[in-house]
Amino acid sequence: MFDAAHAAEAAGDLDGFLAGVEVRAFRMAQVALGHRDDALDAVQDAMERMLGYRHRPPEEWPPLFWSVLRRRLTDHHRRNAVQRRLLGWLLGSDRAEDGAEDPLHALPDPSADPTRALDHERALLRLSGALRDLPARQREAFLLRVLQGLDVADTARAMGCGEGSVKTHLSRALSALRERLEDWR
Amino acid sequence: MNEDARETELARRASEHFERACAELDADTRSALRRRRAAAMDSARRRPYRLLRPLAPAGALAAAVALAVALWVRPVPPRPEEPATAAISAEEAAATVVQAAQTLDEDPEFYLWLVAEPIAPDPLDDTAEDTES
Repeated sequence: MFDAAHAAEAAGDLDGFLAGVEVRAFRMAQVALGHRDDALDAVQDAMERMLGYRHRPPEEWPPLFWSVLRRRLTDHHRRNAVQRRLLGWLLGSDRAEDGAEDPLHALPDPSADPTRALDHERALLRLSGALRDLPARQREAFLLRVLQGLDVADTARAMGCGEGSVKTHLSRALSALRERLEDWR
Repeated sequence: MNEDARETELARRASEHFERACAELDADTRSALRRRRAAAMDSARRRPYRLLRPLAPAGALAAAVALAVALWVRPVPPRPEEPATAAISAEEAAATVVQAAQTLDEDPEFYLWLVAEPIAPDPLDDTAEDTES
């Protein structure tokens, strides 16, 4: 039976939880997607979906939330891949197929302000570009394990795979990033 | 520096940049995040069905299983009994005809008498009684 008072209490607790993770969620989405507004949309969507899990025990919320956000980011990447192919076809070039510069990446980021950008933001922007070239699972392992600082077990739960797979994906991601970011500081 | 050490260093730097970027997120974006969170929480009141969205796959699966079970265990309607004639095989029908023919062969006089004998009046026929009286 639906208990309105209990639901309100749970929603209130969830609101507090979301308030505590929203900045990290936004930064993770920004690194993954490379665009401020897309990142805001992804975080809001993940928050809305989390409302469906508000009656779960609060200790289950963190891996659930990161799992929901991870799926949202992966969906966004898939849509971008389709758009990239479509743009490549419309432009009459094979650049997209060759792995050349992504036309979408060339669009200006409205949040970018070079005069105010700090070193670490520029560093994250470069990291973001390298991450978007990685396979989805490697990117997810890096985002959750390295940036969010989840342990292997929580990362595995959020990715829906085994702990061994997390270690493998992360190792490959680090290896690929090391080659792409030789002079990254 | 070997590869493992360089990868560890890369992860450390990435984490450090990320933490600083989170700590120094600008006020406009923080405000936008608060508005987005409020909108998300409000969506539960405006569109309560969305709360059931995580359960949609499980609901669809349960409905499919229930339908499959219902079709599987549904009682088979009883088939109408076939008429007795349909149960007689062709061999049985042939045997009956042969047996009748043999009876005719064995006692033909009986059948000749049966044809020549006048039909007795029907005791229930009132018309016949009136005529005779």
